[in-house]
Amino acid sequence: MSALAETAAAVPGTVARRVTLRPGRILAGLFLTAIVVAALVPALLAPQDPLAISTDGAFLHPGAAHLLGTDESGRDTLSRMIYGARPSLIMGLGATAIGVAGGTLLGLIAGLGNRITEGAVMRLIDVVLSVPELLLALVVITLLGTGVSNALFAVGFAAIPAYARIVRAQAHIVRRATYVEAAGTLGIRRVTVIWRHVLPNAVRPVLVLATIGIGGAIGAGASLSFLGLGAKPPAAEWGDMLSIGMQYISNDWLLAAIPGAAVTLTVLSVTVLGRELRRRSEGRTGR
Amino acid sequence: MRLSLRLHAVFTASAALLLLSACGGGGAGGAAAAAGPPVSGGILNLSMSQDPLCLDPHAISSDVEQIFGRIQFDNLIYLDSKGNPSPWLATSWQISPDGKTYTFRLRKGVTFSDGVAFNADAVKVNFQQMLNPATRSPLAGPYIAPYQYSKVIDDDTLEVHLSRPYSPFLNVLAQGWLGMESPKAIQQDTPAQLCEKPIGSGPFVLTNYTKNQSVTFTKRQGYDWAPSTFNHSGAAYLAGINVSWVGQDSVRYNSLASGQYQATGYVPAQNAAAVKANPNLSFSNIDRIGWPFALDYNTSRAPFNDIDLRRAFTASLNVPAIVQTIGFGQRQQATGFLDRTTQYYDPTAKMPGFDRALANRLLDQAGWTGRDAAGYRTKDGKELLVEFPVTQTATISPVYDLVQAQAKQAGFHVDVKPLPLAQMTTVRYGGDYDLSSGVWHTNTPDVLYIKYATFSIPTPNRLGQNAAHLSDPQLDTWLEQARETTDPATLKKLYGQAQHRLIDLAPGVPIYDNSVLWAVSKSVHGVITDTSHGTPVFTYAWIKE
Amino acid sequence: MRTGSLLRRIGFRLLAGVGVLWGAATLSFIALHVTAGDAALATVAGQGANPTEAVLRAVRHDYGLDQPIYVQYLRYLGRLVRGDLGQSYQQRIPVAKAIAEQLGPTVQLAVAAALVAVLLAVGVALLTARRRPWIGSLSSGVELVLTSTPTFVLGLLLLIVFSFKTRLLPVSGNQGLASLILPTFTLALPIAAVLAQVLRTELEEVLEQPFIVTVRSRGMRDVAVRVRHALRHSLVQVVTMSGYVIGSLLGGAVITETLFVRQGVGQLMLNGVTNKDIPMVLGIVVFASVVYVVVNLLVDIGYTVIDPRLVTR
Repeated sequence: MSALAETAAAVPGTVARRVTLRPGRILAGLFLTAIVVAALVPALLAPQDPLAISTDGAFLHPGAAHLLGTDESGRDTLSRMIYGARPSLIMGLGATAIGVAGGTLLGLIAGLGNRITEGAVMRLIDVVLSVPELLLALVVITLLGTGVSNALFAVGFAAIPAYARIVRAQAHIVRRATYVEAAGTLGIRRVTVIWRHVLPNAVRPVLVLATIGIGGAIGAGASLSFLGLGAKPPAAEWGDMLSIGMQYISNDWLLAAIPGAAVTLTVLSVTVLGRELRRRSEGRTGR
Repeated sequence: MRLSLRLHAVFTASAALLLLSACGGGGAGGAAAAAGPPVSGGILNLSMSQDPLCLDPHAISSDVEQIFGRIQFDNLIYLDSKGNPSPWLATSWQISPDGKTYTFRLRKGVTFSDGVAFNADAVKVNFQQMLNPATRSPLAGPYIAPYQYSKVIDDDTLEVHLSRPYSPFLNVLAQGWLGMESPKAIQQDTPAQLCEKPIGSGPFVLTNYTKNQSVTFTKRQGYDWAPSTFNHSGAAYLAGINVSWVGQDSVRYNSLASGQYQATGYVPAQNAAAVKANPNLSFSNIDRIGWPFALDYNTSRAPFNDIDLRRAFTASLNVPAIVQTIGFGQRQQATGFLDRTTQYYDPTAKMPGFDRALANRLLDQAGWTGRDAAGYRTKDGKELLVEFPVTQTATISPVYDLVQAQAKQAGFHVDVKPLPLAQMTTVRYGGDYDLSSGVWHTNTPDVLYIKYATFSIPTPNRLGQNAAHLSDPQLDTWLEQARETTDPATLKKLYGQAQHRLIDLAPGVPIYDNSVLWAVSKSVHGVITDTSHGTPVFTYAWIKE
Repeated sequence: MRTGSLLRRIGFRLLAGVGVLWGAATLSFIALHVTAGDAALATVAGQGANPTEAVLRAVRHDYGLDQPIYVQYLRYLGRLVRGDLGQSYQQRIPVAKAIAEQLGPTVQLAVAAALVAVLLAVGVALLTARRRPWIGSLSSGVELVLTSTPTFVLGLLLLIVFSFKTRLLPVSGNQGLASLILPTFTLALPIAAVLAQVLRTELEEVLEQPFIVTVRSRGMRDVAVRVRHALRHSLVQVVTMSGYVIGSLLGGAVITETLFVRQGVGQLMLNGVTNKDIPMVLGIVVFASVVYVVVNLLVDIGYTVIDPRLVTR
């Protein structure tokens, strides 16, 4: 789960300066564009119905009829890979949205509240942070049951504490900033100050981090599907495809390799672009 | 009266050869001659799929016990090559004319590995333990449910009283789950302790058990009471058997192919071709007695309370194509509601085949004429929904996808819902489903009573296996009558009628005959195929490179 | 005075740790008790089971499942204080015993992975910090790919290359060092990549510091400068990331153990979740918290002792 890794690595201002070469960013951008198009209009790119089984066409090797071959039920692997983009992006965006929203709420309460509120919220966060993200997601799934939406919530929920910590730290900084104190002395209402000044300034760095977190969430969601806790069987979902493909790895290793490559390249592209965004927001330019 | 264990692979042996047919290449005689005389010593490394987390055969239902039962325990009865009860620890028996009293004469000189003698009292203690609620027996207990009490006549004679006639009694006594345990251990140990270290009288002794990792069995010196049908006596040749749990199909296959293990249970069907091609491995595919892998319709609620909808669903499935795809050529399509190897199997009781036109016609006649946006049939604005909850595992069998896709062609919306085991069990016993699937392996045609008698419908008080919720008085009568007789001609007639009746009632769709796919290194000789379970028996196996 | 404030700090940390543990126990207890599904059924009614109602009643009574929820909670806390994590439904043995049985292989894996990760990270960072641009770019590129690869994809890749295709290393099992190599690297590589990134950034900053320039001007060799001076300063950063490392190790263990069919606590957890083995899942979650709290406490005390300035901060 690299969402936490990113936040952990980024919090104390230990940002890696040189990340990748420029061609990397361009490639990442192109790949991600393709993924977004695949997610929005999969039918445009996919040559076939990703769910159409063919009992006499299983385990076909890549060829003219099936560019990437077929799976154990004779479904077209390329089409399934393309249709797999949507659940992955929904997982990444949805879970990150839950994490950021929950984290911002908790972080602001802690950062702007009195000592008792702050203490209570931070202890709660400490408790939740003491359990590794994946275990936390597993607990949430046990509670809600399996399935795509529950896995999405589980991944988002598990990311809340990390975001909450960052928002709280930012809120602390912003709160003491001269312009906020000035606004306070000018008699502007507290809610207005929070809404107009604290929130945007505290949340901006979080949003930048969150773009990288999307990649982590995609990976985490795929992990849950790999463990058999996420997407349902016939659906085209990368983690699920990989888990099933692994069973047939001695028959056709492509069945596992293709979804594995898809999820890895997506996470990688999101991370590359996210880091670029962060670099720009911090006023640094690429080399 | 026939029991033909079909061996597809290396060995197509006669019944006599079968008993000592080496999985390690060819019939017993030929292989033994080629490999020379049996060699003592050596450890057999065996990989299995899933640790039952308890090794007390009376306390579990895991099919692991089919193999472990023969390694660590002995039974009263062993089935002969024709599927009839033959002596093991019981040397002879008499059944009273009313079928309710069994008098067993027991073998002398048998001891458990803790030194305790095997006698009439030991058998009595075993029966009591199987039925004791504290044991929580999921299988052994229910299999001897008609048991009432035992009377010890003398050390070697036991009189067992049943509450009603139960002719499958001797058969079930031959199953791995009903192996005899040391009465001393049963009386002194807690159920948890028995799970960790059960004590038997078998050819090997459990010497180490690390959960989810390994089980170690060591040769029992002085063992000399194998079933007479083995045509062999004395202690085992192997010094021991090490079992490892390897849950992932691909890892299990690859660790076998790389020589990490010399034998594996449950070769993934997709790897069977590779195993067959491997010069170091022998492959065997043995059909099992019992109920085939099949789908159950829940006949107690809509839509499948309507027999025409059941017939329509059955007609919508291209079963041969499904079997071919999921079985990789290793599975035989089931013809009816008994596996071919089951005694009194009737090949004339045949399921109707794939007929999409018929499916459509039946559905049209039943009023499911509308179609929604997704192409599913509707009636009065309601979708033709079939709820199909399945046990959630990391890798779900493609069979569900195939059923779903084929039924969709006829307009059924099959909703496959993977659920965790706990929820699945609740759903299953609560009857909250339209379709369910599974196998039921036992060594008698009484499996039809277990699967389809009204008595076997799950209730809050008893978790029966009649997942179809089928209740047919005519069928009940025949199945009850079969339990009351031991006359082969009568049994043949009754079970034949029952099988035909089931075809008419269409309580489910038989898919393929249940079989065990085994792979054993060619260096292992003298492996016997078990007559109850179709699994390998290592009592007189030996290793020679 | 210094010892006093140090002790007070440690005491405070201990108290906070206990609070975290209590919270973790309570939260997971609540969470898992709301889950649907009959645990008694799951205990006896696995695949192919045929239990009677008397058996089910016995199970419910044995585990206190027939008691009101607050009684179950209080009993749970009471037992917890005594180090008793309850009885596993599925395995029918104490949870603490089950964890103890499975702990060895997981600790072995986690320690090996932590060592490999730290050594790799330190090595790579030392070799690549403030070198020619392409070296830095290459190594951060590799690190980026590794941090972006989900554990199960990385593990599968290693399995295919080193085991399925070339048969260089065993596929499964807990026996021997050889079977530990692939799982260790699967778990260690992503952690190493994150640590290396942080460490290099830190090293580069230290290497720009005036005192390094002074040391260099006295003629100290580059290797010595890096190892003796720069590394010491930057290692503090690695230590502060211990929480992240533990989390990754424990979370990664679930996937790594599943993939490589290894015995361990991760497998135990996954089994517990699928079988709704409430005491088992609760036990492991609490156990994970204990590990986290204890390691953080040790790290905290550790560098308070090393660097007393932190006490006054």
